[in-house]
Order: sequence, then C-alpha cells, then structure tokens
Amino acid sequence: MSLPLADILKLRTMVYIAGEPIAFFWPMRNFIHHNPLHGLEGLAFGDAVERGKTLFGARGFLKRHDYQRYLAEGTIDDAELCRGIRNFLASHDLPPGINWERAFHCLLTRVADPIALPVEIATPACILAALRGEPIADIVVDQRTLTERMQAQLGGDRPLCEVIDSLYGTKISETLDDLLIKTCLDFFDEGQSTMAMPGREHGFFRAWSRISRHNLKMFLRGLQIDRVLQGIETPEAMIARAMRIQGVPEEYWVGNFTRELARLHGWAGFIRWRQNARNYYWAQQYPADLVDFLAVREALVLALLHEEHRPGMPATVPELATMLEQRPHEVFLRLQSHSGTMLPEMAHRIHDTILRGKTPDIARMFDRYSTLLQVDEAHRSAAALKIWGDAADITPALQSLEPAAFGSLLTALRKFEAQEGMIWLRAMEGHAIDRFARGIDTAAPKQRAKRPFAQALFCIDTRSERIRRHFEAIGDYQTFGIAGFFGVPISLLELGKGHEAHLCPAIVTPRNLVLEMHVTAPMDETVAGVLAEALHELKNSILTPFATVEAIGLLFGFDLIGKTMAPVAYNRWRGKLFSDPPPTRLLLDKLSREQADSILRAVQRELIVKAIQHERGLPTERISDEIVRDVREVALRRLEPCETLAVALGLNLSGLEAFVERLRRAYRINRQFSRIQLERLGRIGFSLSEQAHFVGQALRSIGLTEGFSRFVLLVGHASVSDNNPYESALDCGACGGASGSHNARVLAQMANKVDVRRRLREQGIDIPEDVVFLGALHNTVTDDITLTDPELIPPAHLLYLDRLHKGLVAASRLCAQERIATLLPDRAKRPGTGAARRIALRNAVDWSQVRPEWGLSRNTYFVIGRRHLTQKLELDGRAFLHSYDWRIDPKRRLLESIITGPLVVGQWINMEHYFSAVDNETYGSGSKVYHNVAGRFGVMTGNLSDLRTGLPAQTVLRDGRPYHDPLRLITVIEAPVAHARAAVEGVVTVRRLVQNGWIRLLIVDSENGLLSLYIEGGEWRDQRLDTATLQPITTGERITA
Amino acid sequence: MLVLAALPAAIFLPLFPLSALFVLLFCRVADLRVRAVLVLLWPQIGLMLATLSAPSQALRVWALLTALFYAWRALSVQELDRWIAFIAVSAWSLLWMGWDTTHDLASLRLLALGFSLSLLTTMVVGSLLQRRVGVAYAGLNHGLPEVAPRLAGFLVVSVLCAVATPPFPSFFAIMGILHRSGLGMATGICTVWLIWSWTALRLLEGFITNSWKLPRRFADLDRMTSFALVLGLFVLCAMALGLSNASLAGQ
Repeated sequence: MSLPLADILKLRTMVYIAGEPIAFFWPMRNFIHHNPLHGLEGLAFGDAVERGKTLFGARGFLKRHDYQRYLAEGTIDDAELCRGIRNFLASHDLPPGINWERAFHCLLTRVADPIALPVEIATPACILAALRGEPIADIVVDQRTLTERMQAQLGGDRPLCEVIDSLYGTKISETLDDLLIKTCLDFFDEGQSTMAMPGREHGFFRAWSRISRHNLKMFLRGLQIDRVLQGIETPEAMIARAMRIQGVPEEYWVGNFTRELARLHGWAGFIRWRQNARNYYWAQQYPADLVDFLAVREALVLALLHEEHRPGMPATVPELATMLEQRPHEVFLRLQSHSGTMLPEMAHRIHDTILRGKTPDIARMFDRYSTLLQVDEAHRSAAALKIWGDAADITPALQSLEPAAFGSLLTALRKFEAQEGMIWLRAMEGHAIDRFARGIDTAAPKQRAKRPFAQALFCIDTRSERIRRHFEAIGDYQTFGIAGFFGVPISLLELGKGHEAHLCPAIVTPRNLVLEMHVTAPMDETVAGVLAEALHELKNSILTPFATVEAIGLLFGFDLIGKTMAPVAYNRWRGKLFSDPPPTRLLLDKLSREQADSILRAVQRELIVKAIQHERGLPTERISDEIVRDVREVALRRLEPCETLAVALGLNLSGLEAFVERLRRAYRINRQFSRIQLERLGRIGFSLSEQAHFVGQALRSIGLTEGFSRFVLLVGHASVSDNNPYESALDCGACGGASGSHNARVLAQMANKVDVRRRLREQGIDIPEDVVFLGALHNTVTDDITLTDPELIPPAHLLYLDRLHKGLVAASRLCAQERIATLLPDRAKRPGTGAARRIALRNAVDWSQVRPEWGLSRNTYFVIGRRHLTQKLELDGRAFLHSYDWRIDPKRRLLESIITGPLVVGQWINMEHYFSAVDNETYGSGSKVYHNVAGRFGVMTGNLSDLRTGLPAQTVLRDGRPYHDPLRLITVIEAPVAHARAAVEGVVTVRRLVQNGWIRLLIVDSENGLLSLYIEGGEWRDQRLDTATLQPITTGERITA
Repeated sequence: MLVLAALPAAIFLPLFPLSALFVLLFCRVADLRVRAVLVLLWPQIGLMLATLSAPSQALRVWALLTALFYAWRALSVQELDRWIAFIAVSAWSLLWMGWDTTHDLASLRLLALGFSLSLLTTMVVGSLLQRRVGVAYAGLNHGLPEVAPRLAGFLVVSVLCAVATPPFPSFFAIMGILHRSGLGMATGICTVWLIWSWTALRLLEGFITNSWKLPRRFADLDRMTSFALVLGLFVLCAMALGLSNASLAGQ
C-alpha cells in the first residue's frame, strides 16, 4: 500500500506539528542544557506548565510544603504572597462575612496539603452536609453528565491503547514502550553494542520492518507483525493504515501523535534533534525521523491491540464510543478499578461483577458503589476543609454557608489551588529580586589611579562568580564576564581526533575550522598507553571476555581496588605511567591557495607512500619522489599510466591501473575528494580582518577598551570527574558542552598579534605593546586555574609571573573552601583551605562520587552590566555575570548580541534546572545510581526506559529536597530604562520570553536613579533608587508601559 | 485407601473440589485470631483424620493437580486474603505427597506446621495493612513503600516466607516433601513451587511498584511493632531449623 504524494506530505506535516512540543535532546557527549518546554514557549509560562502537565504528566511547581519550608527560612516575600492572593480574590466572587485574604493566606502557609480534593460523584451539598456532621442524602447520579465526563476523559486525542489499559488493566502501552525502546536501542546505537542491527542504512522503519517479520520472539508472543505490515512499503502508509483501522477521526491525529511521542519524549526528542542535525555522522549513515518512529509504534499498537483483544473489548474508537453510550456504568466501574483509586472494600466484588458481565448486576453494583463513593468523597473533602477551617478559625463560618455559596467557594478553591504554584513562584522571586536590589552598588565607580596588575575574563557561568570575587579580593585584579566561547565560534579538529567539534553555543554554526598541531615530532605511545588500548579493544569484543577473564581479570581487579580505596594516590601513580600530552599550537591563520595546495599535496604524497609500502611491499628507498609524484598525477587523471611507472612499481600496465583505481576508491586520491579537501582547507583559520573583528567585539562587549593591564587572562572552564555520563553538562555550555580552553587560546593568540592590534588601534582600541593575552583553564571541580600556553609568555613578563601564580593559587584555594562547604553535610564545619583542596582533588578522580560539584545548581540571576554593580554583593555562585558598559554601546548592538546569545543560553540552563528540581522523575533524569549509558549518547534508568532528559537528582536535590531554588531567571540589565527596553523589544525571541513570563526582567538605571521591574501583563513597576529607605521593588508604584 | 475413607481428610488436607470449603471459610472470617487458629489447625485435623496407610497413586496425582490448580489460580488473585487461602490449599495438598509408610505422622505434622506458621506471618502483616487501608489489595495499594516503607518491607518478607523461601519454615517443609517423593512427583512439586514464586512476585508488584494513588495516607509501623515483627521472624527461622532437623530425623 502506498499513499498519494499529497497524503504523504499532509501526514508528514502533521507529525512535524505534533513533534513541536517535544524538546530536542542532544547526545550527552556534548550535553546541552535546554528548556524541556521549549516547544511551548509561545504560551505564557503558567499555561505552558499546565500543558506540560497534560502531555508529560509532570508537575510544574513544587509541592506546597516545600514552599512553606522556604517561607519558614525567610526566602519568600510574604507581601508578594498576599498580593497574589488579593489579585486572585479580586476576580472571584466569594461569600461575604469571612476575611478571605486571611483565610487563603492561612491555607497557603499553614495547611500542608491541598484541600480541594478531586471528586467524581459527591456534590457540594454532600460535602457541606459532611462538614456539618449531618447525614448525607442519597443523590441520583446524572447519567448524562457522567457519560459526558467520561467521554471527555477517554475520547479526543487520547490513544486507543491507553484507553484500553485504563478500562481493562492491560499493559499495552507499557509493552509497546518496551518494544519500541529496544528497537531504538538497536537502531540508534553508536558503537556501544558489538553487534549492529542489520539494514540500518535503509532507514529506521524499513530496517525494523525487515527484521520484525522474522522475529521469533514476537511470533511466540502472538504478535502478528507480518499481517500488520502486509503490503506496507512506507512509514506514512503504516501510520495512515493504523489510524484508519483504529477509527481515529483525522481531526485528532495531530493530538494523538503528540501524546504518543510524549510517552517517550526522551527518544522522540533525540530523534527530532537527529533528523535536523545535517552534519551528524550517524544520522547521515542511518537516517531516521519521527515519521519512522511513529510508524514503528503504530505497527506495534495494531499488533498488541490484536493480541490483547477479548470479546466485549472495543477494538476501535467508534466501538469505544458505543460502549460509553450503552454501558456507562461498566465503563465507570472499570475506570475506578484500574485507576488505583477505587474504594478498597468494594474492589473484589466489583471485579467479580465486571467479569461476570451481566448488565443488571453491574447497574446494581454501580448504584451501591456510587453511594459509598459519594459518602467517602464527601467525608474526605469535609475532613480536608475542616483542617483549613480550624487553622484559619473559620469552620463555623464555613458550616453556616448556604449550599450555593459553598459550591462557589469550592470552585474558587479548586482554581486557587491550581494557580497557587504561580503565586508562590512570584513571591519567591520577589524575595530574590529585593535581595539583589538592596545589595547592588549603583554609585559611579571610582576612577583607577593605575592599571590593575592583571585582568581576567571569565565565562559568565555562575561558578565563575565565586572565584572572581576571591580573585578581586586577593590583590589588584580586575575581572570581567564574557560568554565562555569568548565570542569566537570555532570548529576544532583536536590533535589525535578524527572529527570536528563545534565549540560554540548550540544555536550557532561555526564557519571557521581550527587545527591543533604538534609542536614537537609525534611521540611514540608508552607501553601503558598501548596496553590500555588493547584492554579497551578486548572489552568491546563479544567472545574475548569469556576467554580472558581468568587471565587478565586480576588486572581489572587491581584497578578496581586502587580506584576505590585510594583514588587520589592511585590516579596520581597511574598518571605517571602515561606520557604528558605534547605541547601543541593552534593553526589560526587563513591558508593561501598555495599553502592549501601544498598541504593537500603533502597529505596525498604521504598516503601514496604508505599505500605503496602496504600494497606493493616496496621498501622506502625504492619509493622515489618522482614515482610518488607520477602516481599522484595518474590518480588525479592529469597523466596517463605508462610502462615505466608500472615497472618501477613492479607491476604491468593493467596492474598499475588496478592499483591506481584502488588509490582513487580506498585512499580517496581523486579529483572530487581533492576538491572537497581544498574546500575544507579553505575553512581553516581566520582572516586578519576576522581576527580583528572578533577581538574588538569581545573587548567592546565587556566594556574593556582601555586601561589594559600587563596580563589579560582569558579563562575558559571545564570540569573533570570520573565515571560520570553528565561530565559534559558540567563543562562550558557556551562551548557546546566542551572545555572552554581552546576558545581562550584562540582569542589570546589573535589578540597578541601585532597586525590585529594595529587594526584595533584604527578602531579606537589601543592595546599597549606590553600587554600579553594568556589563555587559562578554570577546573570547576578543583578550582585550579592553569595557564594553557605558558611558554608563549614574553621574557619581560616572567618577572611578574610568580605574583600572578600566587594570586591564582590563593583565589583558587579560597574559592574551593567556600564551595566545598556546600558539598558537605549541613552541620559540618567549614573546612580549612587545605582540607577543602584535598576534598576537591578527590572529587575529581573518585569514580564513586555522584556529585563532584554542584555545577550550575542554584542559578538565579543573569546580570548584564559593569562589575562594580555586583562587586560588593555575595551572590554565592548564583549569578551569570556578563560585563557590559552601555556608554560605549549607543546603538545597543552589543546589548542585543548579549541578550540574543548568552541570555537565551542562560534561560535554557535556568529552565532545565527549574523543571529538574520541581519534578525530577519526569523532567529530570532521576537518580544517577540507576543510570545506564544507552548507545553512547544518552542514559536510561535501569536496563530499559525512556532516554532520561534533564538533570539527575544529585545535581538539583539534596536529601530528597530541592537544592536548586526553582526560580525563573532574573535578568538584570544595567542601562538607562529606555535603552534596555528598546534592546529587549528589538530581539523577538527575548521579547517573547519576557512577555510570556519565562524570564523576569529588572532594569537598573544608575544614570537616572531608577529601578524598573517588568510585571507579567505588559506592566512595569518602577522605583527610585535614591529613596532614603529602599522599599522592596516588588511593592513599588505601578507605572503602565 | 478407599476414596470415601479419605473424604474427611480431603476436606482438611484440601483436595479439589472440597478445598473450596476452606477458602470460603477463610475469606468469610475477619478476625485474625480465628483465622490463625484455622490455619494452624486445619491441616492438623486432616492429618488426624487420615489413616496410617499411604494414599494411592491416584490420590497423590489428584493432590498434585489440586496444588497446581490453586497455585495457578493464585496468579490472578489480587486480594491478599484470597491469595493466602489459595497458597494454603496448594501447600497442604502437597502433604499427600509426603505421606508414606516409611515416615511417621509426627514428622508430617511438623511439615504441616511449617507451612501454617509461614502463612501466619503473611496473615499478620496483611491484617496490619488492612487495618490502615481497609483491604490489602494489590493494584490498589501500589507504591506502598512511598507511604509506609517498613510495612512494605515486612509485606515483601512475609510473602516470600509464604512461598517457601529459605530460611523460613515452609522452605524446609517443601524440602521434606521433596525428600519423600519420587522423581515424577518431585518434578510436579517443583513446578508448584515455581508457580508460587511467580504468584508472589505478581502480588508484590501490585503493592511495591509505581506511585501511591489512594487519597488516604496513614502512619507506618512504629518502632515497637517493627521490632516485634523482626523478632518474630527470627524466632520463625530458628523454629524452622528445629523443625527441619526434627522432620529429617523422623525419617
């Protein structure tokens, strides 16, 4: 069966739209923090959270008792809480005579659990009677209302298999997920498995359908996949067939697809990313998209529905609708029974009645059950209301309400409890904003008498805040914050690696390639290195472990004991067995045409020499330059094969032609590939004007255009840990989840060039001759800062190097002391600097350490402004600090560039932490303890699960409670109000984020002495900075935009 | 042994369909003490009523089929009380296999006691759960560890105890029966044993996995009760060792 093209396109479009709410999932080798609700950013934050709850079954806010704990700790603004309650009450008509603001405040702050319990049958009158202690009158259940409610619950875009599961207690959806996950693991494997799925190059659906027709396990299960796939040639045809067989109306297909995808949103997100990653090797080799994924899923749905079908069970959506119309009592009882919320005392009798299937018995059972349920619901609801009533001292008042008024109160309570998360969130943010506003220094910075001893540009990462603070305190140092890629997006071909790495934010595609090259001659591998490689190869084979476990098992045991009992000492010793990495340089400059040709020629000649040695067995001395040149010319079809050449290679003419053909195919010495290689060589490096542009832009963006000190450090950062699939999440997000040291070296090398400085001088940035830019790396687990190319320091500067080293070491130790204290148990004493350092060093090498550092946990603020604004404020590693001076940015270009790039990345990081903290099981990835690496690109929980997106519990939780305070990113821009607002208005994505409430925005206008806070709904709240007693900004006067 | 003569014994060492009587009685009785007496005495009465001559091969096969049937039936049961009843019937039916002329009835009584004591443990824990929730029903009490981790732990141990997991008495009881059976019967007994484990896991799945959904929450076992249960389990294991020695010595 194949569909017409129009149908194919329509279906593909439907799948595309259906996949929009599913966030991308990048391979974890380069972990990219992302907002799990990125696809819903077009909605207001509260609405998106609600939609996320429907799609993913996830909570978007903490539980009330968590917020109550924050309130008790003083990190929630009670005034803002009251304001939220007042705003709610203003739009709801509640009975007079009760101080509702006080009562609702009491509800939030003194009642631990929600009180507006969901009810199926009980009416407000029943609940009121129960509250009064009166007998509850029997009510006749309105069949029509009940049927309509169940139709809404079971119909629409809800997948049929889910409905069957909820009615019959089958596990079709679970089995379906398991089968699909196994298929995904087989198809998408990227070298973890020793046996690959055959036929992957034909695409996901085709490869799977070929294998599944002969799958014995499925056959033994009774899954008639063969029959399902009969006549199906394309994935689109499979989806269309499945939907038509199930009788799903076409208007629900998109919603249906979304719900199917949301069940395995990790895998769906990965496939969505993969189908869009054009340069991804595995996607090119083994193509797959969401249409394939859904086609496989729908084929399995049909097979499973057929296998589980029993007499009386609806097999299609129309049959389900008929069942609802004709047997509503049975449907209700079934739903109750399999939802896990049925009254336990009736469970067995109801099961028996349903099994017998006699309609009159079912009707009688329904009547009995609904009566009992009504009473139970009424009493439970009344008990919950009484808890509130007693706490707020309004129980008598509640009991005296009229039924109609009581009903409207219950409705209002339900709405309030549905919205209370936003009220708490705003109150928590209010406190954080006020704390910030009180601590900033808006006075004009003092002019420096002389230039600082050293300046350091750190990544805006929150972990830099601590070390910057200590570095500034320890001596005459000045620090700046800049995105970790230093504004230079590069594609790096690292020494010894065969692929390029994009070292820039995920939303940017680098155009320039940088090569890392040996300084010295290539060194031979050490014995230990060869042995390590051999052991790695052995582990990856299927059979060798069986044969060699007795022989070399002890070696692994030795390693196991060493790593476990004394990780620091063992790793230090082990490091001595391997040679130090060789010094390298980065090839930054653009190649001329001649240089590119020369490199290509050299590489091809090298390959030809190797080919002749390997294929013909000729010794080196018999392979002259002339022979090599002629062979190359023949391969590139610039010369005809000749006898002389053939004889020189010990071949006849046909042998020579065969050899040349092999060079063209296997060794790729041909015209087409030469053209491709020349194009690639053309990507290498930066032209002089590009270099000057990047350096100038970087310096201007942070406001450093004069007053350069002798040393300007460009400090990238990276994390080092062992046995940690999330290591990349701790690296620099601005560098694509990799180390920032390469970008630092690149910018340093550019900025040190005389020609670049000359061009910058023409642009008004005069960098004195004695200024040297140095790359450095901040290890965020140990807080060590290491200079990356110390041998490039000019001799005249060596005198000052010792002071710089001491400063870096001191800052590092103090930072580690402050930071390690947060990793220790609450009541532990703050360690000394030596002890802290030892703990930090151990964390970096301990393979049992599930929390080597907190990473970006507790991130709260994104500050765009001059350093002096926040210099006196201890931000506890909670702020992204991007240096910016609005005075040198009259056209707002730099500000727009900052908010377009780094701010958006910061928002992704913030949202990932937010959702992982509020619901770690669904939005996060659960505990690391149960993680298993899947396919080398993700992790699963246990041996089979959805790909776990989000952050693990150990990153955002502590002792089961949130460690990361789930707040939306509070963005602070230091600039005149009009300047900042115009910049935000000018960037569509950011404007949408602000208006929809995904980030909070605070403008600090030091020039005009104003603080301006954006309130959801398009309003701003302003306050003067120069008031004698600073009122909380959150209670400032409201000025409409 | 004449069928008619075995009839009274077949009620108390339950053979299908007379086994329905015990199941009915057990499920009707709500009081834990009465149930405990029932479980302890029922097979003992059966052994008292039985004659000394060994049952015929046909009777043994029927007993084995009864044991298999109830074990299989227990797979789909979700109510803990009913599950206990089915496992009890299945276990006591196996006593017919352990009955031959080379062994005295006293050792058989010890085997029966082993089964009964193990089931008693499950009944005690089940009643603790029932008092808190209303009924011990797998599938309704999903996620029990979330609200009552201690109770959940004891439930797991007690269910395993009932299905002849070492070192509990039922394990030694079934070992004793196997020791006295021929190869064919032993295979059947092992099949029954395997199905018991399967039923135990299916039952526990309905209590331990997923999240708690019932609106009502309750207090977990307090420390004293937990300590008492632990002590009880230790005593049970000690008794099991004693029983095993005695039953083997009775050969």
